Amino acid sequence: MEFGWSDHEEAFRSRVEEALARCLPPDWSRSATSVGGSQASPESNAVARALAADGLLVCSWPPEFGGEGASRWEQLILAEVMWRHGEPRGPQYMNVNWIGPAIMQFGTEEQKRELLLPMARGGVIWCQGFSEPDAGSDLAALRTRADRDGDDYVINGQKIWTSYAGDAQYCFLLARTDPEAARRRGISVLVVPMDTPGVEVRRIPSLVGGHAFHQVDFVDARVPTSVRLGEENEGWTIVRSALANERVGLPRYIRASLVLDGVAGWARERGLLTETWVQARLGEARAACEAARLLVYRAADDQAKGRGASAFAYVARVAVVDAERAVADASVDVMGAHGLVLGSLADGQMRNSMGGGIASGTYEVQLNLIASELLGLPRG
Amino acid sequence: MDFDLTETEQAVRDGIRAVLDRHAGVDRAREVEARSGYDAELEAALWDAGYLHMAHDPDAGMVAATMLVEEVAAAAGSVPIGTLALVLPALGLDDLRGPVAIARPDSDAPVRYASLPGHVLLVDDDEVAVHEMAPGAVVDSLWGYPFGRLVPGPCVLVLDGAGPSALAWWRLAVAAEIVGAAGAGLALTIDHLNHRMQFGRPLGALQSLQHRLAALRVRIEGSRWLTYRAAWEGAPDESVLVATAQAVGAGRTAVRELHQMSGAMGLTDEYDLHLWTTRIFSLAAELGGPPVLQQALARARWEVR
Repeated sequence: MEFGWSDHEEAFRSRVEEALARCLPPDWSRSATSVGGSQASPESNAVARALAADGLLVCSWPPEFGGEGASRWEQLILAEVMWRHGEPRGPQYMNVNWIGPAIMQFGTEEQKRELLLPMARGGVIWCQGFSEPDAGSDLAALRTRADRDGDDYVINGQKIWTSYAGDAQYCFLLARTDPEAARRRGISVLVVPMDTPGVEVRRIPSLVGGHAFHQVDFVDARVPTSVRLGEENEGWTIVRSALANERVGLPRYIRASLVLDGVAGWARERGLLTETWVQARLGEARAACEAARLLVYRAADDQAKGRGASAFAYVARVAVVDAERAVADASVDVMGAHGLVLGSLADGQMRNSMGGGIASGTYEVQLNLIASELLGLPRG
Repeated sequence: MDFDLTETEQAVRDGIRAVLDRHAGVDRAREVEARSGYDAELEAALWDAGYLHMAHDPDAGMVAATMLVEEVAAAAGSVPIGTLALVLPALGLDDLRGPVAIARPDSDAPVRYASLPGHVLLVDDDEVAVHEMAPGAVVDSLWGYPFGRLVPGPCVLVLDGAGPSALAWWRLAVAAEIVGAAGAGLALTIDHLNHRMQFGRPLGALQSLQHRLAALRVRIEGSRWLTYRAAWEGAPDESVLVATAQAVGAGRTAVRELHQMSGAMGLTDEYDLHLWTTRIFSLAAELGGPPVLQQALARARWEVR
């Protein structure tokens, strides 16, 4: 066992910190503790382009696609630094973490040429067309159809909760291309330009940040079959692989820890930090944050060693949600009604934690997976 | 970062398990419990095999010693393994053998092993005083250990300035013992739920139980790595308090949940679960319970005086 960073990793962290100090605009408005860790902002494209120029945006990609083959640990360090500064890449972390890698693995040469370069330059936003009104945790129940019509697909259906859809140029869309096939067998991945006629985006106001939720309607939206990623009806395989990368675990414990430090500072200014009940609440949340950090590292270690997605990825996600909730609960307790003010630490953390247990696979689904894969209990 | 055991750590763990297979386990724990509650043979076997000297071995060190604490607790070994494997080596007290109790000097609460003849480490914020101990008054308790009231005899040694370090390793020892015992109790309970048929299916197929078991596993797993990390770092205050606060919280939940899921059978002496849960419950009370540790953590983290 070894719980320290290597000199090389420390140097990489410094390099990212220094690059970010250069890249962030002087009036960078998002703090690490804002709601919705990865919102699109007017500045995020500029930051992503500047990081790209520094070689850091897609440093985890192989050199042939503009990266430097950075290790799993370097990716995690990069993500920690980004979250420390309010994730200035905005939604582009998705391109880097899983959409780009999925295109590298399953795309045609033409798709790689056309789609990967703009991502590597930091100039493009994608959204993820997965969830539907009747297909949430049960993703395979999705009903959006893409019917063959000569060399085209005609898409009809509805996606929902789609983050960044209002800003995105592309949608990584899951659609049913064989309505007769069994649930998981008839699904394909289509790369749909968001300016395709028949694609309509409507923002859904919510508690979790202005840009978080959208509904995307597809009404006879026509795309050439060349936008399909991988084989027809093989989309489930691609999604499984992509989600394994997505579930790597964003370092949300970084933000939770920073919120907690902020609340401790707030309590100190008001003379509350000497109260034993305040100390106990904050200490409990601090321990949860550190447990989450180590369990994310534990899962990353499996990935770094090429063992693929292990059940410890689910353990890590549960621990991260636990930590976010513990920090939210402690913050609300300590700040009381001051936490009702929009943008206050407790307000932001409460709303973040409400989404944390739902996005990219619910808390309960993670618990199911731990029960069957790690504890050997019967599948429900 | 590397979460795999090194070759040495792997060899040590295998070796420890071999010793524990012969000298510990639930049957042995019952035998010892029926007598003094202290397993001198197990202690001797661990000394003879060299496992209580590991802390000073540069290849093994405090991480391996922490692993030993966890393994002995998982095997329901009846020795103060945390004190023997972590606290004594950290203080350089390599010659002390036999029952060793550890307590705050002003403690009037029951102390583990204080009913037996041996030594006691009295740890205050500054120093550690080692006293001989005449057997103190036995305290009646069902909670897993021989408990006594502290009756320190003559002081044989005072270690100036060693208090903070002793307290840190004591806390870490408690965390490691809870992690080991809770892991073993969880494994027993999962096995039970996989075989216990009710309503025509194993109880373990019920999602209400699965979610609670999974959540408990997450808490134990987090405590385990926090404990190893704190040992690897040499037991700095904040890191130790994070591990101990988390482990004590997880331990409390484990006692409650594992007994609930084991039904009336789980409350019997005949069933093994209590061999771990009663000890977890005692360990979780020894340092004052979750709020006390959480407060101490907050004071360390945010430098509150």
